[in-house]
Amino acid sequence: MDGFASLLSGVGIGLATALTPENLLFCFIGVFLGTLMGVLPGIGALTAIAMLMPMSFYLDPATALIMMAGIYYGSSFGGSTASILINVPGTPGAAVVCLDGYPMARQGRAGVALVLAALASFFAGCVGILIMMIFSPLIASVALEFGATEYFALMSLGLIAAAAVSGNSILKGTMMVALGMFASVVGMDIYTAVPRFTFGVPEFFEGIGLVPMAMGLFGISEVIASARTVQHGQVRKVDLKSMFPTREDMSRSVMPAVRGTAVGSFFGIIPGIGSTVACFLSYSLEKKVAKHPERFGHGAVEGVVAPEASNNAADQVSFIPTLTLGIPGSATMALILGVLMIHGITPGPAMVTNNPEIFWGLVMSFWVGNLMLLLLNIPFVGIWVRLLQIPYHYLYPAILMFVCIGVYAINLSVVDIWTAIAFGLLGYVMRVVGLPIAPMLLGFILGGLMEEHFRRALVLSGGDMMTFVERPLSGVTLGLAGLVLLYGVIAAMRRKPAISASA
Amino acid sequence: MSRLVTSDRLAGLILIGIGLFAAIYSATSYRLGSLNQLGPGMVPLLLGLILSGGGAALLLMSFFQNDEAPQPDLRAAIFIIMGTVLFALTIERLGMLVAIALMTVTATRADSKLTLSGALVLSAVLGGIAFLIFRAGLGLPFPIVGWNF
Repeated sequence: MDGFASLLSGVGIGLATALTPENLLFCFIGVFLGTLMGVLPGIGALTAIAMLMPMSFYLDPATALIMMAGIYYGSSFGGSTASILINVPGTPGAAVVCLDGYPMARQGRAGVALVLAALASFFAGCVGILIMMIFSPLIASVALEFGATEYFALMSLGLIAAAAVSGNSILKGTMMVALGMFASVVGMDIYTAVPRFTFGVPEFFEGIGLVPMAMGLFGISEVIASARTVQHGQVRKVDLKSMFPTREDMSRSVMPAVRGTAVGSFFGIIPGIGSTVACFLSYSLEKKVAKHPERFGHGAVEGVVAPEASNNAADQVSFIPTLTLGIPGSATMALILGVLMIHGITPGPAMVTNNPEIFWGLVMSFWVGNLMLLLLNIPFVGIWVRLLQIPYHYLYPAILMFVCIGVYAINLSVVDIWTAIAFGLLGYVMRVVGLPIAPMLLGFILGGLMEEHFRRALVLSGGDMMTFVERPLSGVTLGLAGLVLLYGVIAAMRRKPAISASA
Repeated sequence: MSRLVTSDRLAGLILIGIGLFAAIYSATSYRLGSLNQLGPGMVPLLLGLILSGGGAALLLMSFFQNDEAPQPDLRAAIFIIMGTVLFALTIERLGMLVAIALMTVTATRADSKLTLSGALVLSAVLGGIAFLIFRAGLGLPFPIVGWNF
C-alpha cells in the first residue's frame, strides 16, 4: 500500500510538471524535431540529440530533459518511417523493420505499415512507461544502499556490455570505451586539483566539453562519412485511402505487438544490450511462432509490428537504469545523462527522491509525448514523406551549420569549435579503420564517475583491491562483466578468416 | 595476406600510439600515489596500458585474419574539415553570415552536385535560418557581420 501511495503522489507531481504550458510546448518541440531529424536521410537519433543538445541549456532541467527525451523517441520513430518507405535504415534496429516494411511499401501498403507501426509503438510505449513507473522507485530504493565499490562494478558491466554489442569485435568496443575514459581524464583532477593533459590551454581545465565532443564525433564525422554516400529516397506515393488497415491486418497485429512489447521491455532494461537485440529477437520470435513463416520478408504485417513494438518498449524501459542508477545503456542514453549532468544533477537513486519533479515529470511527459507522436505521424504522413526526398547535398551543409554555431553558442568560445573539429577528424579516422565510436562517448561520460568511485572505493578499503571482489554485489557484477568479456574474446578467436572475409 | 595496410592494423597502431603516449606522459608528469591514496597519474597510466595492450592484440590478430583495406573518402574529409576550419577562423572576425557562407561554399565542394551559385543561394538560406534561430530566437550575442582584427 505504501508503494502504491508513493506511486500516486509521484504521478501527481509528475502531471503537475509535465502539463505546464511550457513543458507541453517543449515536449511537442522535442517530438517534432525528433521526428523531423529521424525522417531526414542521414541523421540518426544520436546525431539528432547531439545537434540539438545546446538548445537545452537555455531551459530548466526538467524541461530540458523532457525535450531531449522527446527528440530521442521522436527520432527513433521517424527513423522507422524512413526505413519503411525507402529501405534505408537509420539504426541497426530499424533495419529489422525494413525486412517486411519495405516489401509492404512496394505492394502499395506503406500507409498501412506506417499506421500499424505507429499504433504498435504507442501501445508498447505505454507498457514501457508503466513498467518504468513501477520498477524505477523500487530499483532506486535498493540502489540507495550502493557504495562506490558497487557503482564501479555496475558501470564496468554496463560499459563492457555496451562494448560487446557495439560492433563486430568486443576488443575494438572495449578499446573505444577506454579511449573515451582517457578523454574524460583531461582537466583538473578532482582529488588533487592537478590539471591533467591540458597542455596549458585554460579552456581544458574543466575538461573536454561533452557537446563539442559529441558534435564532432556524431555530427562532423557523420557528415564526412555520408556526404557522398547517402542517397535520397525514391518514395512511392502514399495516398490516404490506403492508410486504413483491414480487419485482418488488425487481428494479425495484436499478438505480435504484445510479444514484441514483452521482448523489448525485458531486454531494454539490461544496460548495453538495448533495443537492437530486442528488435532482432522479436522478429525471429514472430517468424518461429508464425503458421506461415515463408511470408516473412515479403511484406508480413507481423514483421513490422513486432520489432517496432519491441523497439519502442525498449526505448522507454532503457530510461530505468539511466535514471535510477546513472548507468546509460546506449550512447543516446549517455547523452541524455550528459544533459542532466550539465544541469548539475547527478543521475542516480537520489534523483528520484531529491528531484521528484524531474523524474516524475519526465515519466509523465512520456505519455504526452507518445500521444503527440501518434497525432503527429498518422495525419501528417504526407509531409514526412516529402521531407524524405530532400537531397542530402542540401542537408549536410545545414547540419554543419547547426554543429558549428551550436558548439560556438554554448560558451561563445572558438576553442570549442576547434575541439569539435578535432573530434570530427578523429571520429572519421576511427570510422575508416573500423573502430566503433559510440562506446567512446559512453566511456567519456562514465569515465569521470568511474575514476571517482574507483579511487574512493580504494580509500575506503584502505588500498585493498580485494574490496571489488569481496563485496557480494560488486563481486557478482564484476564476475558477469568478466564473463561477457571472455565470451567476446572466445567469439573473436573462433572467427574464421573465411567468415570475416565474406562478412 | 595480400595487403600490407589494413583497417585492423591501422586501428591497432593508432591505439598503441595513443596508449603509449598516455602511459608514458602520466607516469613521468603526474604522481602515481599509493593504492589507498591514488595520485592523479594512476588512472590515465592504467588506461594507457590497456589501450596499448589492446592495440597490440589487435595488431597481432590482424596477421591471422583477413581484413579489408581502409577506404577513406579523402575529398569529403578535406573539404568538410576545411569548411569547419574556415568557420572557426572567421566567426569572431567577420561575423556569422560570412562564416556560414565560407563554410557552406567550401563544404559543398565535397561532392559535385551543387554549383557555385547553388552553394551561394544555400548559404543565404542557411544564414537566414541561423539568424532567425540563434539571434532572433535565442538572442545570442555574436556578430552578424563584422570586421574585427
